[in-house]
Amino acid sequence: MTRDELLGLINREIDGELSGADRKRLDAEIGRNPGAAELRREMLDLGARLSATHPLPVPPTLKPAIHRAVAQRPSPAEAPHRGLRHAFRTFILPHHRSTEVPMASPNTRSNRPARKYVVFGGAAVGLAALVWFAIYWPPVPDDQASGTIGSAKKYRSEQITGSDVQLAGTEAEATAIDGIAPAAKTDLVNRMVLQDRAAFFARISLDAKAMLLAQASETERTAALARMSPEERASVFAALPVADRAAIFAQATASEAGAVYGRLSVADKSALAARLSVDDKAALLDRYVAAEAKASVTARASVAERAQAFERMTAEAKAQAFDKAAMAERHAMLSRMSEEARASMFDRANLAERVKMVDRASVAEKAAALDRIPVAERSLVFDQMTVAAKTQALERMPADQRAAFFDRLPVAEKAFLYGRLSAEERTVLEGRQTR
Amino acid sequence: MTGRDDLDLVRECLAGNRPAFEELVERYQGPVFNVAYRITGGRDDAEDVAQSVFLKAYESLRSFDARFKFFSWLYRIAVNEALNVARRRERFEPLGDDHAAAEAGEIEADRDRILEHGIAELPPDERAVITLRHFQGLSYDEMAEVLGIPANRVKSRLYSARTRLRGVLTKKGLTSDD
Repeated sequence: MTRDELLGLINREIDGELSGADRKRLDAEIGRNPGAAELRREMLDLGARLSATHPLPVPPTLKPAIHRAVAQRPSPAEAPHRGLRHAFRTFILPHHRSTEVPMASPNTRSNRPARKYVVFGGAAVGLAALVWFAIYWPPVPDDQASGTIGSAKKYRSEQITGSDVQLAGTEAEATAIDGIAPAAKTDLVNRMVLQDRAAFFARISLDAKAMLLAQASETERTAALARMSPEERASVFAALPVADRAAIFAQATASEAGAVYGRLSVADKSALAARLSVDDKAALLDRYVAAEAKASVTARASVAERAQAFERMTAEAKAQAFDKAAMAERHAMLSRMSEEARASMFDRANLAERVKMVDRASVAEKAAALDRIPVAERSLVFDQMTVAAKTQALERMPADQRAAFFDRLPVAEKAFLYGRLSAEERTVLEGRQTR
Repeated sequence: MTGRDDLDLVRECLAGNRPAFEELVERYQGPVFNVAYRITGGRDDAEDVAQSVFLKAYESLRSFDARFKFFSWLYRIAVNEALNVARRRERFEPLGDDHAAAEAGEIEADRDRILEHGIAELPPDERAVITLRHFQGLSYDEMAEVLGIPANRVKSRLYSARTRLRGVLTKKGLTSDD
């Protein structure tokens, strides 16, 4: 039995389609060939594992996004059949896999039968025309008197002009689209469905893309941006006026804004950032509608990017982003915040997080952080700090607090710290110890 | 299925009842999102594809042929849309070193993730058949209807996909090589 035959039998077994005769053949092969038994075991295991995979939960933002998008469209009861436009898109636009073809029979050999018929039909018409021209062209004049001069007239056509040259395919579409006035362009694009717009977006100039993108709906923008290469995205963003750039994000839902930003590669993000002025960046971030959107955007960025974005957020947005961040990110965010904002974030953290934050904080920050938390909790935080951190923290504390914290230390740490204290501090502590 | 069937909802929608479409969305958002995710390999892409699929379905509802199942029609739009995205994505963003490094870290941690990564390494057409068969539980005939190819081609594509997937997983150390 060949390996292909063996794999065929095993695959049929996975699908529960193995006949009795095939079962006997498979069992016989497995009995003869240990390699076959191993292959069967692995394939059955693979089939079982594939079928046991749990479906992913649907993002909660999906349904509202669909409903919003659908609400902007006319009801199917009102929508006209697309007729010629659909045919144009299906048959003329290159590289476009139609997702709206009417359901075909399962037995259809091609998933683009209509196109196949058009190709064959076109070829047949072309062949007939060729035969007709070969036999009947040039037409013989009735008087049979044109002679050589008459025949030569056939070639005296006017010179070819620019308007006579017809470009085909992508080049023609790009030229045609880019050549028309902005208003007409907008009107044309407004008449298209989402998929058409996306297809055209791939072919038009960057300036035209920027212009159209600024006028598109949020769904269309997201779809169009998703279809662009990273370089294009950065360029298109750069070509948009600041207000439009901000508007793109302002109109996006949290998920959409995050999706657009999240798709950018690191190089793309850098390219985008490099093209935006500081004011642009600020305007872009400040005009995010919801703090949730900012949090979503920042959740997709790198630690450094998040920290950078964090600087521009409102207090509410910062709080939300902070809540979603991992510990390393929180530290990066905290390091970029003002003293006041940092204190506010610290207030939001739970005890374990505070301990880690304090551990990572500078000496001044540690002191400030400890000051902000209740005394009982402060002790717990203090207990979990490293000896070095404790030393630094104690050095910054007022003498009375220092004594209280010193009491909590294990003997070894006390001895270590004692060596670092000034004579005056030792006196205070000794006085406390002897009281 | 309880309540109105898909065809009833389609008819109501065509009569101008928008909430009927919302019910179809509720009914199929999960399968469509999952089909899109398995083919594109990304949650964001899957969400965009799912949104686009329902929008297209809504706009093209009049072209739906009631002789066929609504879910087959919807899956067909979803598969084609997801394949378009997957192919574009592969053209623009081939897996780089970062992905490989992340993947290497995950190999030891999670076998399901390896399976997911293995599927992502299949050609998009093969991802589609694996998805429809194993994750959506479609029969060969239903898959043929969705993919617009004969059932015997569905079978051969599925067999190739599984065999290739085993090869990919063997390379990743999930199965032993024979």
